[in-house]
Amino acid sequence: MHGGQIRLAEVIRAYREQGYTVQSLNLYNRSASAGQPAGKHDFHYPASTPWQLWQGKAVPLIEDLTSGHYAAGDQAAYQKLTQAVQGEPQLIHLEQPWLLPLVRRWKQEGRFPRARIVYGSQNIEAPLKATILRQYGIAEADAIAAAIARLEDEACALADVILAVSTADRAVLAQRSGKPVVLAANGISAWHASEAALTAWKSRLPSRPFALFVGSAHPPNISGFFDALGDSLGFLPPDRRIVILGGVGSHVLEHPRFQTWGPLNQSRVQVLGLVDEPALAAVKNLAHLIILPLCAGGGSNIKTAEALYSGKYVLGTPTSFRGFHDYLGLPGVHQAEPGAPFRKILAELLQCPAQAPDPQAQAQRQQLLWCHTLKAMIEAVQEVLAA
Amino acid sequence: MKPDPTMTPAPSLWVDVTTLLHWQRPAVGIIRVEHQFCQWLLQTGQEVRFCRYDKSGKCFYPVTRQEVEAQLQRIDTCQTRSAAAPMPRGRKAHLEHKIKSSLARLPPGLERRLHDFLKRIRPSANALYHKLWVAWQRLKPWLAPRASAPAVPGITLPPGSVYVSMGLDWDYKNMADLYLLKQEQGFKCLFFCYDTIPVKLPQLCVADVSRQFAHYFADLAWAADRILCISDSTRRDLLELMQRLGVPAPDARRVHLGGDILPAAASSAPVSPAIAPLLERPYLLFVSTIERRKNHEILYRAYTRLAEQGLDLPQLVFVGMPGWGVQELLSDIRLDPRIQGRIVQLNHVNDADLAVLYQHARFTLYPSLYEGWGLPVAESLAFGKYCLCSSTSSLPEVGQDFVDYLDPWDLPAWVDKLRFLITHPEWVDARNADIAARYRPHPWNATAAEIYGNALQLTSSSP
Repeated sequence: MHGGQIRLAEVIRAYREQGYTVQSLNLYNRSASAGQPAGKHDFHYPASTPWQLWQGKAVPLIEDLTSGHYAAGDQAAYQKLTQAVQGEPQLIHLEQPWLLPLVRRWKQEGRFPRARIVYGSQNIEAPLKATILRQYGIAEADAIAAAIARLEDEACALADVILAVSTADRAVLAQRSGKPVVLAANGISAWHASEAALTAWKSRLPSRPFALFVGSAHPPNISGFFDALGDSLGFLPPDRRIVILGGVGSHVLEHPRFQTWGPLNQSRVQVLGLVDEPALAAVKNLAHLIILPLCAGGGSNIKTAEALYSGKYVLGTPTSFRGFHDYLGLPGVHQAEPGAPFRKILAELLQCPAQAPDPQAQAQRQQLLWCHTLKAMIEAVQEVLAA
Repeated sequence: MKPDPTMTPAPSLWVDVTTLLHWQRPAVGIIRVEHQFCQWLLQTGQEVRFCRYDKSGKCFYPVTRQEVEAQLQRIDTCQTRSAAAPMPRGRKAHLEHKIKSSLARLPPGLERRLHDFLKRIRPSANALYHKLWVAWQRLKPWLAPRASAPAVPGITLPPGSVYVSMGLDWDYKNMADLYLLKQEQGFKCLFFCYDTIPVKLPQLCVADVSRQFAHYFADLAWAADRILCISDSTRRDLLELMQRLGVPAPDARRVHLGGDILPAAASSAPVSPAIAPLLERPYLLFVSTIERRKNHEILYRAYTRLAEQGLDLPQLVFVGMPGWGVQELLSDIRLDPRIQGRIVQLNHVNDADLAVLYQHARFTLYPSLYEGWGLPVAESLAFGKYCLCSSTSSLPEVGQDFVDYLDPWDLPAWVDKLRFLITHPEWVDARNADIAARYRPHPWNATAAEIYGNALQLTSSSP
């Protein structure tokens, strides 16, 4: 699961823990969810429908935006999604702005009139999407970003509760909506690595201290790796490695910037690809250092929360610590600008003795668990429902 | 055989002779540096130990002084092998000749059909041939016979020892492994950088060596406690490359290469039959491996123009092994009627013959596109011979104000200057006389002492 999916699963869990009955509706495309089973409330967004087009033109990387047009505009899809809603919901939680057109049509048609609206923003999406589309040379980048900005503004306007994942995002949303915005930061679930998994992975991983980079194939993860570390990994001693875990790995290996000094870079990385949760837990526990080379994007990064919770050395950029500034004082946590400062600290940390356990810091890290970070969301929702 | 801890000697200076032990030809370039250093160590009785490195076993093995002496002797007595003119046909031409001869023995109908078939597949056969050749070059170091039987146990270098390696380390060593051994055993490393040309000018090198060398240099810098560069230009290039690669700047220092070995060889030189006929007429000399970077092409082009102008051209003698990317050029030289018999090539020339060739040359040429140092320019000056030299890289450090410099790509300039030099022998004589009077070659003994001094400094430096 990528970060957004993890967050949404935790939001649902938090509602359920308060006794609410929660039903989810989701549109998915097969390429992005390959290998994951669809639930009975997961609806397929076909790749071949004209709703995929942007103003009549095929534009990549905007399926999220066009999915909302499909959900509200395609009569069959609209009926299917609407009929899937069981009973009269008290609350509609719109996670991300993409399906706003569906919620808007429900409102316009007077459906679910008692439902209060929660808008959960994981990012300020408009500038993030503009950056990604510009990287791929897409001419419509600015027009699409403007459409997303309108969608985000309308979601705020419609919502009874607005949720942000970082103080920076909260300020932006509050300024744009003129409404109070609740900070419901990203968190993590505690993990446990089994002895068997630790033993198995120890033999597969570098014998010397290694840095761990966990990331999906999300474009900012790929560009962030190179923006923070540069084209050459020669700054690492010959016996030190960066272990790359997740969908980002193959994209890093194939990237022209990696290939510039291919043999050298190859000697400094180990790419593991996608692994299951027990393996992820073991690799995190065996890492000497977790790096967060994120240089673009809004929101806050669940990977940052996980890294902070690990008790390992953590090295991130100012972007990657967005939403987690309170933790910058923890022992072993380092922030550096992308480029030379990031590389310098990374090389130094890999040659330090392992981070020693610190009970006081460990207590502070408990605040990173979802049960703490989503507390304000639950309180705000209860208040709205009580009113 | 892995190291036996009981064999570990006291801290000392260890000189790696792996490259030297593999070498089967007269000493040139890098081999000359290793050769001269070892010879000086043996002659002056310095307290050093010799070793070789087994790349696959990641282990050092001791080498006796007697083994080193015997190998130096073998290299010194290698003979000049190939004949003078005509130009050798090259491997591909030789293969073509063999195929055509074999076809001629077949019945006419079959011969024609087979000939047509071979002609059709020629482009892919050429590509296959090139790939096999590249693969063979890469495999060679692995397949080369061990310099001495691994019957003796491997050794660990004691903490505080200094390990000196100055050979073809990209072939015989894995610098990442040496970095690990160094961490484990606590010795220090003194390495050499002869040039960074494969990375700086990748277009002049075969296949993907550029990125492989970048990897090599990065690990070299990590493993080294000091790197000796053979010119200020090379030192600058190395530091610039390390900056590009993000590698911490190593302690890189310049070492001054010698240039007096050939004059010494000349004193006792019996002339080889392979070169004797050349000495009967005036000739110009270009000593260098024949490869694209050395820019033999500009001399060929200049010679064709001068020939078209009707100039009576002296013979132009190329001394050096043919390398990568020059088969077409060698073929042009062989077939071009304008310069028939004017350009000759010698291969595997030993020191004594080379000294004779320098002594009798009118002057020398060095149009290289880029160099780490430029030893032939120094050798030319040591023999009191003027050199017309390329203006690039380290060459002005070598030639100082004794030679003239030209842009290596400026063909009209080379044509004009060559015409002038060929038609004004008195001017060349005067320059030669001035060089003989003023130029003092840097002694190899001083080079060896300088390297040794660097190693000793490391012995006493903090870890």
